[in-house]
Amino acid sequence: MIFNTFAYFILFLIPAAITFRLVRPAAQPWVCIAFGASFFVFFSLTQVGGAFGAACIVIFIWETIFSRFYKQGSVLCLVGIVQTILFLIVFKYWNFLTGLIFGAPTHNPLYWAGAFLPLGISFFTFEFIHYAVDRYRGNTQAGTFGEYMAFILFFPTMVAGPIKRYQTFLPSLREPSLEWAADWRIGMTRLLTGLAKKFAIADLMTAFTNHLNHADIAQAQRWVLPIWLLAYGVKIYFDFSAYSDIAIGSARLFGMKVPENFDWPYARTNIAEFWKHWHISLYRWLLDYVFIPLGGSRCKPPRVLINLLLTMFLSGLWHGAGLNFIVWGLWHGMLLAAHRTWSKWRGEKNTAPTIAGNIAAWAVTFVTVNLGWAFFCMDLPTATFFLKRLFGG
Amino acid sequence: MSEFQQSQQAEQAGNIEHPTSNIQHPSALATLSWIKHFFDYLGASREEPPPGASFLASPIWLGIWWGVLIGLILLFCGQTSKFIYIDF
Repeated sequence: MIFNTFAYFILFLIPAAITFRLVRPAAQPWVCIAFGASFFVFFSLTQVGGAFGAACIVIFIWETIFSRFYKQGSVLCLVGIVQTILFLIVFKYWNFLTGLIFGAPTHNPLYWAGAFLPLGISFFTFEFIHYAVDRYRGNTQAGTFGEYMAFILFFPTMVAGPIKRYQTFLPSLREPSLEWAADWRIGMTRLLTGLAKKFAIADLMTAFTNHLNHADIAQAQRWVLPIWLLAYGVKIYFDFSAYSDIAIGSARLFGMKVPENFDWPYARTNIAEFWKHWHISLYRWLLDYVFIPLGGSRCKPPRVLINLLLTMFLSGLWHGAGLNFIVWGLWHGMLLAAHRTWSKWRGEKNTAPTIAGNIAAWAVTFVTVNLGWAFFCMDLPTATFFLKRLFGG
Repeated sequence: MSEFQQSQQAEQAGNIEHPTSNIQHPSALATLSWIKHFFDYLGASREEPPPGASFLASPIWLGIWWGVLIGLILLFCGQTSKFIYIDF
């Protein structure tokens, strides 16, 4: 829940934003740290992970201490990246990976029965990796202990992004906007918009998306199936964009700006444009820390397609420890590869597309993206069954 | 500099690419751009109101809009569920 609870607004956001603006600049990072740590512990105890989840606050302390040793070209940056990936593997993928080797939990001697996911681990690990890589490359300054800890414990974006960059966060932390009235007007409008999108649209779709299970799919008439899947497409967009609105609006109350995450992705007319406007902060992260290091689009054409597939495979795996997420990632990888191949083959055209051409391109993009949600919201056997029923009757 | 960074810079410079920017009919493009700008302003992801709609920046309009949003929140809040990405 978190952003749609009174506790978030009353215990954390409003007091933190006001305190942040009232204290002297040198104390501002420590306000972020104090409230961020309290936020992590409170919501771990009450919603995710329990006492063990709350104890994971030591990850942030360890990361901050370790990051002080990062220098340009230092092997410690690489160690930092490896340990961050290990955190993620242990907490998120342990049972999935050991399950691939040993099978069902009953046959898996390494099965972790008490496995839990520390709050926001998928997102804060991306920020850890970004900082380590950029320090290694010399692309960012170190900042102080307090500034880096404020960056990783900044609670509006801690749980589910938008994924920040230290280079843009630091100036904002050092010199936040002093225009209280404008920031609060814009921030509160963004917050209310996010909450209204979540309650009035995303949650309303649950009545349809609850049917996306094997039993209901087996009994449903065929014409209902695309409606259920479309409802999930609407739900996930409004749910996550609402979450991002609340995060961005919350940061604005502090006088800080964080990256945008969505820009009308469903209005786009090809899959590459879709990904440039859907979960933008993740797309940028994948581009900078996976796709480009793999060689990006400057390799030979077959290698570029492999890079696209690998990047989207990792994107799928990051979304969840399940084969369905991997298939979802690969589906998007294949769409991006197909789009790239088509664009190269078609070449540059001097004439602008017609309205009919644009509508057709939009429809193809919209339908393929929404078909992909089947793998995102259902496990692999259920998604396969859904698609068989949808196309085979 | 990556293609994305270039497009981000273009956006920041005000040269914002619209999803339908390559449509042949300028009037259709202008209308769609205006509608997008209108909704972006309502949602506070843009700070300047669209051309010809400066009334949106007035305190009275803001009060009405906040009232609508709060009304929607109160009307639908009883059925809320966890945000999907919390579990990722």
